[in-house]
Amino acid sequence: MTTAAASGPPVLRMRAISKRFVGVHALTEVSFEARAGEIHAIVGENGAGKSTLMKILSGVHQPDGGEIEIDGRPVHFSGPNASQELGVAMVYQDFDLVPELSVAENIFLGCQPVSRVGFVRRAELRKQAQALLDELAADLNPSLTVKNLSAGQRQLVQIAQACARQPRIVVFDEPTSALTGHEADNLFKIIRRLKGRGVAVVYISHRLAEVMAIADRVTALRDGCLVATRDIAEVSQDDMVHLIVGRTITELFPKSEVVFGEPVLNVQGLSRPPVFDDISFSVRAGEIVGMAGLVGAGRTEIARAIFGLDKRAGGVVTVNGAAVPSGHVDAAIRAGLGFVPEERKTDGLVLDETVSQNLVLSSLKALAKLGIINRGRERSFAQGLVERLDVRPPQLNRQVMTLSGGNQQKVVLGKCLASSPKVLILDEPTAGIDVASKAEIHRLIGALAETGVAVLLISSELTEVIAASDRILVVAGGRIVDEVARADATEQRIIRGATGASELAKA
Amino acid sequence: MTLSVASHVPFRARAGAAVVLLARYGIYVGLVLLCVCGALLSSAFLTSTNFLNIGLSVGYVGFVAIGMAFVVIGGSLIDLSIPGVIAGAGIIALATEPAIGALPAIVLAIAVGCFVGLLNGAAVGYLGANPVLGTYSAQIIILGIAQAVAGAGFIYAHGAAFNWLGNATIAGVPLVLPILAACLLGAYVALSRSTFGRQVFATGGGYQASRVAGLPVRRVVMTTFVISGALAAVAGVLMSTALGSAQQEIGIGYEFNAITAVAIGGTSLFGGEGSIGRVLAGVLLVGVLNNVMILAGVSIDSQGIVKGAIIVGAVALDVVLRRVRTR
Repeated sequence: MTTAAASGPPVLRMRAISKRFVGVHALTEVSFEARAGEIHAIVGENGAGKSTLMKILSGVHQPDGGEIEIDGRPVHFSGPNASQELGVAMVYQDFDLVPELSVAENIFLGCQPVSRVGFVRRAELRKQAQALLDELAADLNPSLTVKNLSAGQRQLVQIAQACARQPRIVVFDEPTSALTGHEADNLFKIIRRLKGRGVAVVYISHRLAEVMAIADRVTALRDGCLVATRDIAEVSQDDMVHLIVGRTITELFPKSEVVFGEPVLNVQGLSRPPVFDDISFSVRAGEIVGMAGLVGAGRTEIARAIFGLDKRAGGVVTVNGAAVPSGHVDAAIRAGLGFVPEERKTDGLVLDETVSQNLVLSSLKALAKLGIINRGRERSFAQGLVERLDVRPPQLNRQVMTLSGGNQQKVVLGKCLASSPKVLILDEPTAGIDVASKAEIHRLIGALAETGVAVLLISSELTEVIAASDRILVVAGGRIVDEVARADATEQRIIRGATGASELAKA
Repeated sequence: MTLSVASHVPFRARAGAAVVLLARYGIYVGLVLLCVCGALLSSAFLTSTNFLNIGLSVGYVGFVAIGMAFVVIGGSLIDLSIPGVIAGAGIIALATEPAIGALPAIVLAIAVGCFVGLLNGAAVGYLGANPVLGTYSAQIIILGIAQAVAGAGFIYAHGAAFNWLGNATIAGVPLVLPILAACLLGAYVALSRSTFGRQVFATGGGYQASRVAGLPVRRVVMTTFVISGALAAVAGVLMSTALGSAQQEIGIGYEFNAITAVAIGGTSLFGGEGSIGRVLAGVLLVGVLNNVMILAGVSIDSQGIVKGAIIVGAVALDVVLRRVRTR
């Protein structure tokens, strides 16, 4: 592995970049540089400012302060095209490809070789695409249609697309989040190849083990500020956690000891082929059961089926022994289920409505007499929830749209708590939420467990699942492939389960 | 929102709050200004006879606009079946009255309106039909049936009861206006005070979130169409008894006049926003505007242009408002 000393002069220099969005400092004087032939990782929590910084680099956002230099010359990106022309290429986590077109057509989208009369020269296109894929040592037929490709293959197309413009700087944003272990290894080979060709690689990832393995240097961001830039040889994984979080894991995910009661939620043989099959588990009163797995493993779909949002093909769900019918959310709520959905803004909240209107949405009947809502009762009911959850600012008539992500999530949680659930299912409850609110939400979850609520916690963040759960179910390919007790829970074991079975399912 | 908040929120958010206020109360200001203009332009404007005229000119649209408001707020854009329901209800009431009596005929006509709304609502809410195409095909079908039953000609009112109903007044005010007032009151209570009203707003403002919250979103959508159908039928019965006759064309244009009044009243055509007070103000604004233009001697052609411009303004405001709030 090359050390930082061996790589070349800085290709990219971002100096004291600041960016504000409505009322929020997304970035405060962040400086960052990347050298030719270097892999420079950026780490940080969701909301730390990584993607804002990269959106400024790609020309999507304009910075409010600071300057950008490429090869020592100050540059100004008026938009994404300007950034591309100056040699910046992005490989995003969601694959931005045209599914109906071929690999070759996607690679040269917008810059196809064209004959004099304006037709695309197909043979030439295929030849150039093949050459590019060969250069990346990517084993992929350029004539295939993109919609038939696996996630890993699509990513290859995207990388080839990025390389078609001979970029100086290539940014990878969470490139392994949807890949299998084998595909990820392949990706690392390609990234090292780019590095060998003198490209400056910027690598954004939550997976610290990966960063340790592939990066030369690492820059940590927290709450929109630069924490430190270090040579990877100088830091351990624990150091990195500390740089990212700024506090210890126990501070971040406070965990209290709870004596478990009887099983409350029972799921038997739940299935909805081909998404998931034969899902059986139970959660006891006071217990927090984590559900880990890769994106697309079927966790969200399992949760939605338990809650009745999606119909189930087979299986039984019971709460305290009483069956929860399939496909009836109202009945599920009455049976004692609460669900905090993954998509806060579309599934969790009616954004135009007020804090109060959102909080009471699942409890309208309880607040009404003969169909007419008792406004006084509604106000005190909502007020109680706002105080209990410490929603800030504590204004009942504020539009939820104007709250921060953390406070919006508290409103979603409050709406569930309003119907006094016995089982709470949380799907990525802290995604896109700042560190302080994250700790608060976990304190609330812990407090609920102490009162005997059974909690099912779905999270893609391994640190969170491991720190918060009493027991972890690992889901891969729509099945529970491993069950890990708190004492045995390690990132390695969970990743092995989550990635191993998906290989199996494909074989 | 309190003023203390406005002092430390950024400019854009304050501008947003101003737009929200404009959309919420601008219609009332516009209505008052228009009345002032009317009073200055013509001495005939501020008379009880003129106000009665305005009331009568917008009375039937008022019923339809209330129902339309439920449909729009619930997130279903428009109910185009209305001309069919108005004509159908009028024809049914007048045609069956000699055989079954006045009250049963009225009940039957309104029941048919509800049934058409039920079909519209089932198609849109449960089957996911596009509201424009779904309700427009309902209009075509009903008008077709009406034509087949009544032919191109008129059905006339015969009984004494309908004659009385068509001409009845309370303290000099034709019966249609007190009935409209009662419907407005009922709609106001239903929309802003009842659980159902909350469900309508929530479903229109965030369909998925409402579903996750356990609201019966599909039933809510269906019910808004039933309300629309019922109120259009009431308008049809009152209209045909007042005219003393019914034929298949009496309801034409009411759907668009109603949606105009609803949009001018600041009800978002995207759903989730609106109020009965503003719908009433929208209805009155159109009525007063027509009235003032006639009193001021504005030519018929120019009247259309002015009305069109006002609709464009209302729709533009709706779009701007959405942008500001979702930024």
